[in-house]
Amino acid sequence: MDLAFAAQTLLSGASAGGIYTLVAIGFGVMYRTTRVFNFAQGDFGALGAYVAFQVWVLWKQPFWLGLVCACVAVGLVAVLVERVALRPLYRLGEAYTFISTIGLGFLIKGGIQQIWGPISFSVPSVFGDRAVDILGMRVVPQVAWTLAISLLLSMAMFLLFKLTKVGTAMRAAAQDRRVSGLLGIEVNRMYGLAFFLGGALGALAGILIAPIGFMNPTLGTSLGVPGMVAALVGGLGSMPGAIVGGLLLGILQAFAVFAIDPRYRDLVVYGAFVAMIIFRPRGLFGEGPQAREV
Amino acid sequence: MTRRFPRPNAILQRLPLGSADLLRYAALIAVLLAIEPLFPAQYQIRLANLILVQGIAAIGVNVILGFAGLVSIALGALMALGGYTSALLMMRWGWPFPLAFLGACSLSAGVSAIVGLLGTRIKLNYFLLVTLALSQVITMVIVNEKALTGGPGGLLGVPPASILGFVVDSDPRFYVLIVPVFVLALYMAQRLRQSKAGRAMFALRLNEPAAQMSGIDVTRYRVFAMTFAGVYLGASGSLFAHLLRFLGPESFSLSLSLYLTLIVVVGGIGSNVGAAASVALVTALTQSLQSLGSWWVVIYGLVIMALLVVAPTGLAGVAASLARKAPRFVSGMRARVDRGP
Repeated sequence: MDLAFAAQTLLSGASAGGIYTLVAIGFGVMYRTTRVFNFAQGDFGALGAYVAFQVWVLWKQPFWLGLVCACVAVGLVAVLVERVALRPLYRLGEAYTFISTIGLGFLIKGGIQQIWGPISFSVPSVFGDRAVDILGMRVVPQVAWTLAISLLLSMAMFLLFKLTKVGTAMRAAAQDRRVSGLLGIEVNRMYGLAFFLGGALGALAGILIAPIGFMNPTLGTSLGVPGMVAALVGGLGSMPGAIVGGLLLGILQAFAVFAIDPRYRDLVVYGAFVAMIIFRPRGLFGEGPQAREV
Repeated sequence: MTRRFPRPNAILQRLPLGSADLLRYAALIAVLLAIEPLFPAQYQIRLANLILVQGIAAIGVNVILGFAGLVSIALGALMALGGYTSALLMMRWGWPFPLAFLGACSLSAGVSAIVGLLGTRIKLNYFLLVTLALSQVITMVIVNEKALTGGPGGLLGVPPASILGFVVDSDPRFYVLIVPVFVLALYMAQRLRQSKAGRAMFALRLNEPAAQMSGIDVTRYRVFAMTFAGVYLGASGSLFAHLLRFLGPESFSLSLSLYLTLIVVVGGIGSNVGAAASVALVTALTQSLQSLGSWWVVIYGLVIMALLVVAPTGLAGVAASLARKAPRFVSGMRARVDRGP
């Protein structure tokens, strides 16, 4: 394997990793604020991809409109789900909201199958999928754009949580619901906002991954599983953790093809996950036993 | 050194046999066997068989979800492991059915125990992903190892179960086999609920730090629950294989795990009897609304979400609250009657 080829593999791995990072961040935003572990995050992505496809390809509208429609629509769906199905369950404990999101995942998967059918669509790439020569490497613009967008958005989310008042309020709502309510933070609105952001980020990840390979109702699983693993490897709710975890996973997956039978490629993802559980159960950047500073 | 004898009550509790409770289960077997001629056609017997097979799995799921409070989606995968193990041991290596059945149970129990062991170091969410990984790996092996498992096309010609020359090759015969097995499974799970281990699991689920402070070993009881449930899922998978005489990767997809979770939620998380009753209820509903076809995945999802909001305690909770309210209701009525119109 020569150097250029290795660099190319690295780049395509990092690009897939960027998408996993987006899923993981959407996940983290929800978990950090509401303590809901949203098993349906990947399916939000699939839903977003389908809505964008509907607007852009089937209704022949501009791409940006499809993108905005999908992100807003999925965000609103997420807010609705939080309001109707999850909020009454908070007092019962994490297990109940968790089972509810498992149901949600199947609901979305089944709904997509009913609306768009079980067939696979091939989605055109808006950034172009013909390779261009950059510094002696053959680079597909789609791959480069995906990586750039996901890294930028991840940074933006990180800054939102770290620097702005809203971000601090969301973190406070996660730490102690009652006290933050007493301090004048509108906890329910923060929860809604977290779900909107998480849903929109998920939709974006789905739109970015749809042109790579085919789009079918099981897209949610192939997006959600690596996304969740990335979130957990990085440490649940940690933004830098999600970036590192996502990139690590994508690159590992890209190089794994050389080491083992491609049919068992996903074993690497699970292997990394199980190894992480054994050696560092709280993830690379995860919250320790003591509560982290707000 | 003086040796203190346990109280008679404690002795009774330790004895697996001899408690008066056991009569109820014997009666249950008798009733279930007695109603067999009432089924109007072969089809209903097949359905009853499926309900009982899934009932075993549902009780196992209840032990994971309701007793230990762990959310797993490797349920279908563990059933697949049981089914394929038992079928392949008979087909490829010529093992007799009882041995193959035991092999299937122990293999899924072992795998389930390993998952439980991994799961004790981590939170609920991580545990779900471990089970998801297991489920994907098992599906991957079934689909890719065509020479062994028949691949995506499925495994044809699974031999029927046979015990000491009694070949279980028809539905009425299978019914005779499954009823005692099912009742035994229900009995063991009820015993577990009342035992020290079962109470420890409940304590862990309801308040882990408090349970730990009272000296309950988290690792030990979680692994115990997972092993126990592994036996149930393996047994259910094996019986399923020998009932349908065909195995395919689709029979044990992730939707089966969702379906089993739904059943436990409907029955009431933590109630064995509720889980068993809800299998019958949900199967009857599914069968009567069969025309809905592939809409079922959507409906399962919706029903789970709605039920958690409306009735998080399920059938068992509703029954318990009715039983609590009924005497009050009756006495209220009586008081009203006494007072006159």
